[in-house]
Amino acid sequence: MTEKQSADLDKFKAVLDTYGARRDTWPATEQALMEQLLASSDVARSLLRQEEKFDQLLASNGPMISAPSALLSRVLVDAEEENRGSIWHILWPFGSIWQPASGLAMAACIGAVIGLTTPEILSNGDELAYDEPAFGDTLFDLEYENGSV
Amino acid sequence: MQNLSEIEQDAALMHAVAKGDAAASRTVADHYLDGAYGLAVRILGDTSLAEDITQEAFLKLWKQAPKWQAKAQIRTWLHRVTHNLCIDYLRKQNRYSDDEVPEVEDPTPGPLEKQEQRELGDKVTEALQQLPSRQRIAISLVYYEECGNIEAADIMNISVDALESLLSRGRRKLKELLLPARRLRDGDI
Repeated sequence: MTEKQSADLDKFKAVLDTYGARRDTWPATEQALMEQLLASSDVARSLLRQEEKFDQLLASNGPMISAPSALLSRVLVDAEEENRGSIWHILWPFGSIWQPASGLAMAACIGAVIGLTTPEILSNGDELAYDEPAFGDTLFDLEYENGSV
Repeated sequence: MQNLSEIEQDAALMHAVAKGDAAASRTVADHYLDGAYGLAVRILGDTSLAEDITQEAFLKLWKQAPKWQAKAQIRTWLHRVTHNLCIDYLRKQNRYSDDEVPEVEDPTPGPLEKQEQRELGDKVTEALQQLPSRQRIAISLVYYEECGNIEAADIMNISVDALESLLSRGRRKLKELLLPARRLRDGDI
């Protein structure tokens, strides 16, 4: 074994000692050397197999720990309390506000247009109202208006 | 290396969180709660305490939402905050140092066949808790949370060289602690 090969194997072992056998965790700068040694050296392959066994042992601790559902609920309540959003979101919490807002604006516009283009309806109605007896008038009121009292 | 599109996606998500979008908050929690909690459990070795620390880390995240900038990934940010909160707690308890925790003898006899896997898991958990805090954190981030070396070093606020040293020492110590369990699993004894 040449000095360079020996130095490369030392480097290979150092990377395995630090990062283990998972290739995706090896530093990008060392990837080429690692792959080259794995292709050419029995010693390197043997070292890798040893580290793989140790990684499997480490993995028996469970790669993922799941948070309890109660914690998820607490975190979501915090999120709701901390970021309530704009006043519009509080007034209309059912989603996008543009739909109800545009509906309301449309109704207001139609009302305004009708009101502006047909002013006679109101004025005529007012005049009629003075002449006509109201439903609340009593018999005495009607006789008084007719001059019979 | 940080993925730019992920950073931008995270920024959009946090923008929605800031506007009170419950679905966005739920997405963030679904994606990152387990990771932050797992890290806290491995650092502290106490699930109840880990829950409190994780909730606090997320509270900081929600508070940060209106000021969030597309500079970091949510995962990295949360891991860093969780890490810092855990370290603060350990410091207050005088439990944060590079000293090794005294090894506790396991009095249990040889495991039965069907309990072997669970016992191995327990031994690994026990061994992790015996590592000095910084080695334990480095190993938790790189092996269990699958952070890259640059991201893990960033979270721990140390250089990549320092991280590699912690990983190497931690892994060596774990091998010493777990050698009997390893032999047992491989059928050597």
